[in-house]
Amino acid sequence: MSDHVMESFSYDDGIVKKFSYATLFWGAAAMLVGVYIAFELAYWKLNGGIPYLTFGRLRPLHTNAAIFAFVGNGMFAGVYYSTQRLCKARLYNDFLSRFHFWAWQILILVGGLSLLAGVTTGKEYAELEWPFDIGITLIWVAFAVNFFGTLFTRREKHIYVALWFYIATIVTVAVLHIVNSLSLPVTFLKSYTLFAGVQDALIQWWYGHNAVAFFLTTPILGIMYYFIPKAINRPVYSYRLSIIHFWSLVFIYIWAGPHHLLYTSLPEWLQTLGMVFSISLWAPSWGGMINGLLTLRGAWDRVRKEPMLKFFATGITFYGMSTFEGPLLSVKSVNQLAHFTDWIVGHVHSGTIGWNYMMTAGMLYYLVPKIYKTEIYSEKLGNAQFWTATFGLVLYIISMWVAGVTQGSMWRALDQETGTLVYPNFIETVTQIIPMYWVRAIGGTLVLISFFIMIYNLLKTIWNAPKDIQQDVFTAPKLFHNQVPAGSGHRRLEGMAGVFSILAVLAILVGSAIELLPSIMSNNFIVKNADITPYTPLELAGRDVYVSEGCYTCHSQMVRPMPSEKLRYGRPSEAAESIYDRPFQWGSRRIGPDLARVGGKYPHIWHYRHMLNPRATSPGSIMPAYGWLSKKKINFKVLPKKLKTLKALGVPYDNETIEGAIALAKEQAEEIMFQLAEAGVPDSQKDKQLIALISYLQRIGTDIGEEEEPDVLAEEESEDSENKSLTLNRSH
Amino acid sequence: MKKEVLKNFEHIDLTIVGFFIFLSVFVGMLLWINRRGSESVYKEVGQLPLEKE
Repeated sequence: MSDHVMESFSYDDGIVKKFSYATLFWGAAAMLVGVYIAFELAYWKLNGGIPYLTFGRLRPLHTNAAIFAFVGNGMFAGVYYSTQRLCKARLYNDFLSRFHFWAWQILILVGGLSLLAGVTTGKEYAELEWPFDIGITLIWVAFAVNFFGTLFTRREKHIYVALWFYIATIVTVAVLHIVNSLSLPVTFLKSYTLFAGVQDALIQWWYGHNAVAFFLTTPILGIMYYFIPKAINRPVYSYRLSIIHFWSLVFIYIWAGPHHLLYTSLPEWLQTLGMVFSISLWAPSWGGMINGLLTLRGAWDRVRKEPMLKFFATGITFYGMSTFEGPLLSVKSVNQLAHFTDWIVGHVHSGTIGWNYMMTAGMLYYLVPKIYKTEIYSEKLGNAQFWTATFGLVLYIISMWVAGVTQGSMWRALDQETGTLVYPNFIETVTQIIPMYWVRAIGGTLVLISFFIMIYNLLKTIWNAPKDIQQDVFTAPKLFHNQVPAGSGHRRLEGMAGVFSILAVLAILVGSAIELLPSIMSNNFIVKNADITPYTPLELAGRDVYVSEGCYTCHSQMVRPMPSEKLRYGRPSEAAESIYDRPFQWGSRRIGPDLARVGGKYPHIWHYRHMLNPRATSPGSIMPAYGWLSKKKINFKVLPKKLKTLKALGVPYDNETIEGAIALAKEQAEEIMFQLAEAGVPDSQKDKQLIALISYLQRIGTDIGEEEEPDVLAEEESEDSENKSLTLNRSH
Repeated sequence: MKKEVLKNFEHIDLTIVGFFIFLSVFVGMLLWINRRGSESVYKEVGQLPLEKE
């Protein structure tokens, strides 16, 4: 054995401190923005007529900050603290640790500013444009090298289960991020996605759902398996169960993405697949929750007193709640009601606040006093924080349930006698839930206040800590890697980081391949429709404005195939209609109405007035006014380049159109201007972004006719041809 | 509902492949974690976080 070579080492806790500070800072920032946009929905005037303050731009800032800045920094602090101790080794490389920290903070700062400036890919939770995507990749590689380097130089034979969860996080997030970010740049801050329409939707939600799984869940589960045993000084309830938890979760989670696309024009088999796997997730998630809660058995008396354990216990409970609610929402009949409503928003926050915030708080209450060799400043404040956060969260979730079920029910309410919509005016369904928006904003404010209590409590803890702390030095026997660990085969697998990582990658790749490859490889994935043509240059410019302003945060572009939607919006959307959409803009929430059939519904002047003052055309609307779109000019010069990029991606633009893009766009703007001028709009508007946006809005959903002939028959026929094309595809 | 799902699902071969992948992984995992002598190992590994830092 190796115990004759002793090595001494110390842990790098400086980096853990840095990430902990960053967690506090960005957590406050993310929640502050969240509270602000919550109030915007209750009181639209808070949008202030300022581009940087509109909901459409702040919402992506909030989600990205909460996920990548708050949870991200918290995860890095927890991973770096526990990995060193579980490996009995200092982090592999101090420079990589520093680079990881500073580059991540700079990226968050600059990336956040870019979102405010309207630089966005328009893909949820992946809004940052391509230069940032490259930056994220580099930082992630640094993180991976640092982590695996530590793992390979460890002085402990076994790899504890927490480290497995970290491995799965690192490899899967890398795969997800790279595939979903594939795009072709047009300019320094604008790119078009490699995949379009249905394919883009499928990949985006494969990414989106697994960002929840592998950024918000698996690293925090690793933290749970390390910090809870530490906090109560007892081992995990069942190590066996943790292994089942890990492999089932990794195997099943990766398939669940399409549950975000139920009843859309995504092929039925993928929707079913997503639903089945989402329901299967119940088992491993609850296995993990039970394992976590039972680890706390015998320590419940301490939960009553110590805020740290309160946060852990509640965090695990909310993990159980949201992993119960998720599969429930993935059942198609439930999803039919809940999709596009606030119920989903409530669900997401029971995960991010209930699970991520609570677990992060528990972790910080453990490691900050530990690193600074002191006691927590005030348990009383910690308890106050806990109750404020919990009460705020309960207000949040309940108000969103009520708002979601109310609005979803109103959307689909049909008059039994006349067969018409009971609430044909969309605004009615919005004004109805505004009281719930107030309740939610108040709940969110309480959560924010609770976070500030924690910041104060932890800073006080740090200030009161002894100032001249000596760095601990440890000794442990060197582990020789050419020695096969003693014992039977289990130690080989569970102790071999490289093999283990490969198995974990295989587990996620199997699901990803079966789910994604048929759509990427097959030309017959979407039934072609010759009526669908690419956007004109002006429409494309308008579409980019639509994406840039974050219109998708409130408006979907997907009429689902159900009577109430057909009555409200028109013919259900078809897959072929979005083949030129880069990115797809199906959306996930209808704070305003669906726009998939808005083209030609209103005259140009309606849109013009509506964008400048939504309440002029739609009394009661909560949409911000977009005055600046009538002042900012269209960037005509970049249009040929945009078309050329799209052509390279497969959009059939001919050279004539590309070369004449500027002239074509100006011509179309003149046509729109001609009609607007009749209503008194000054001619100076013809080169403004608003005109481009109108041209796009008037185009959406107009390529295929208003009505198909005998509905039922035609739908069956198209299904048949879809089936045929898929069969054909399988045979070669 | 089952009928409807089957009607729309064209990739029967994938279903079979998927079924066997999942079945073998889960059965294999259960056999693996319950193999002889694993009890003491898991007890030992479970203590890892609690060791003196």
